[in-house]
Amino acid sequence: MPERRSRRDLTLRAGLAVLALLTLATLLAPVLVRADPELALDPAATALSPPGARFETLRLAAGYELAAPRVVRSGDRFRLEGRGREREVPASAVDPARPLGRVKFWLGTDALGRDVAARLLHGGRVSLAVAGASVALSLVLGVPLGLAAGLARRRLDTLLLGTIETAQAFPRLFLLVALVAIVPAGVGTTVAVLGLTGWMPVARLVRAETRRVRASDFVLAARAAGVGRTRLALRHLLPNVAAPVAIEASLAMGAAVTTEAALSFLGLGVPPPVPSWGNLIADARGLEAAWWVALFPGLALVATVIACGLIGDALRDRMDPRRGALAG
Amino acid sequence: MAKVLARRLSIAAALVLAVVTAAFLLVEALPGGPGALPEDPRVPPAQAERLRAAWGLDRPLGERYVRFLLSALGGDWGPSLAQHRPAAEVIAGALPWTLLLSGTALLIELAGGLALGLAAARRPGGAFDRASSVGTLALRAVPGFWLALLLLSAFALRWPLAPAGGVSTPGLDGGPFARLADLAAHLALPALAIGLPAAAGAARFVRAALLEIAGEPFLAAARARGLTPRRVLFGHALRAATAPLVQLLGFSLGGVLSGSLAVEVVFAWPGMGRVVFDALAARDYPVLVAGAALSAVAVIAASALAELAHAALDPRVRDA
Repeated sequence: MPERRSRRDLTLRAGLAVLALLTLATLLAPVLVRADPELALDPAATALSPPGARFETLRLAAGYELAAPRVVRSGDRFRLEGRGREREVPASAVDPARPLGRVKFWLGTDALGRDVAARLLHGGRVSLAVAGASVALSLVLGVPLGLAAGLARRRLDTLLLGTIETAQAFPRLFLLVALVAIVPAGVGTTVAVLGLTGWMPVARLVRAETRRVRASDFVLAARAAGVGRTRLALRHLLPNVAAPVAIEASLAMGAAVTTEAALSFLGLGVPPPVPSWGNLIADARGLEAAWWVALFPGLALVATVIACGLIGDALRDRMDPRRGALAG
Repeated sequence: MAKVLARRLSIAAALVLAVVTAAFLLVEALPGGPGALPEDPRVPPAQAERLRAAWGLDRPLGERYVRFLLSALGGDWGPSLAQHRPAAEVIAGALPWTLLLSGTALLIELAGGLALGLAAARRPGGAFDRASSVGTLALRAVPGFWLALLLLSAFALRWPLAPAGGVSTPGLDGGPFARLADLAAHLALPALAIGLPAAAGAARFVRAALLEIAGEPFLAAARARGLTPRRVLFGHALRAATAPLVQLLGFSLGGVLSGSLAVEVVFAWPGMGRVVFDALAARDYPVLVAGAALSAVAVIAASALAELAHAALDPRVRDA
């Protein structure tokens, strides 16, 4: 048994570590990568550079930068070399303070010459925040409804359950159209769509757990002691359904990240140019030869979903010790 | 059993009605929806009146709702606003393509999931189990549309083994077999993009369902009777795990109409997902309502079927 336990804790820790690392990296995005993810550095020279591409840059007095694999000074001119074509800039047009610089695109650039790494980290902020907020919204909606249905008498319970099932069968896209027709598409709308279409499993789970716990002796004891309905729900039932809700929330987080990406990929979620992992993958459509544009945001997405799944599974195992071996 | 059937069917019917009603009301309330026609100041009042009468919009909401329900029951979901043909025809034309794609993906999911799950559950903690656990964990997390893009760039462009989209090669001459092979080639990548992550999820589910009952006394009894591990697994364990497997099937069936949207868009597959996606862009409400209703029916029918099958297989549920 101790061996199993340590492995379970390892799973939990691995999941939490990956998620924490991703969150930290996205939070530190302005420090780790350039602060403006939309900045395209001399697109004509840098667009669709593969991962690890290095450029030397030349800052012009006009304020923007040119880039080339090599920048050489010869007399009163700067020559930009490489990539098949040469350009020359007179020294008088160059910013005299710090004319030369270097830049490395760790994960390459997209079709507009934007840094994939910068967009990945900045987009991660949006993707993780949208997913987190939408899960929070579905908890805010689902937990009270589930508690109410679980505690209600038969008729009200049937009504609430019917509402839950109708909402669950209602296609997510249809609600999206309706919402977008009323309020403009945006980060908030995406959170609303995900939250409004994600609370049903939470409500079902809380309802089922409430009904299970309701029958136990300690609830009977509390009732006998004269505890009121509200207090019973909040102080005695809620803490007991918290654990399964935590499992559901961590799995829902992974699902929300995926759904946000799918919606944004289809152009129905976070509107560009705000970066999100779905938008980054959408930018890769038609650029199938530049595999790095689609690959890295997808990997970040998959890592997040795996981490959330690991956390959920580890929490579930912790609460459900009965698991045996089949070929014992 | 008849009681369970009647109860479940009436619940399913009520749910379908509720979804269709919600869709109707939502469209009614939308800006630019049927209720908004006379508000446009550029339309002269007399003209607006005539339009309202022509479309039946001068009738009270209740009457319109009943008319809508009755004609929808008869298969008339109104005219598509973007394509000049009935909305039902638009949906009906796309349905077979989606069923073909989702059906193939479902086969991949079930075959792959059962094979991997069974193999992993034979020796939990063994080398194969650990490898498949890591593999399925990662694959399960892969979004279909992303996998679709990767498959496209790898197997349609870099190593062109399969076509990059659509359902047939234009101008292809040949007998029915050549055309069938062409269709299969077009089907392969989108079906894999949907089926592979689903198969990984199914494999984990099958493994967990089998291990859940691994400690049951009847399996120990079967082993004690000297049955081979193979017979214990296939004859006893798998059978006892039918309930969760049916549940899995019901869940997968429910997504058959709506689960392939993004992949259909990537591969230009002319199914329901694409039609709904185009209708979204065109604000083609009748097509949207019909599509929403149909995919809701699929979800509801699949869950009702799963529950009925569960009841038929498990006497404890049937007689409750």
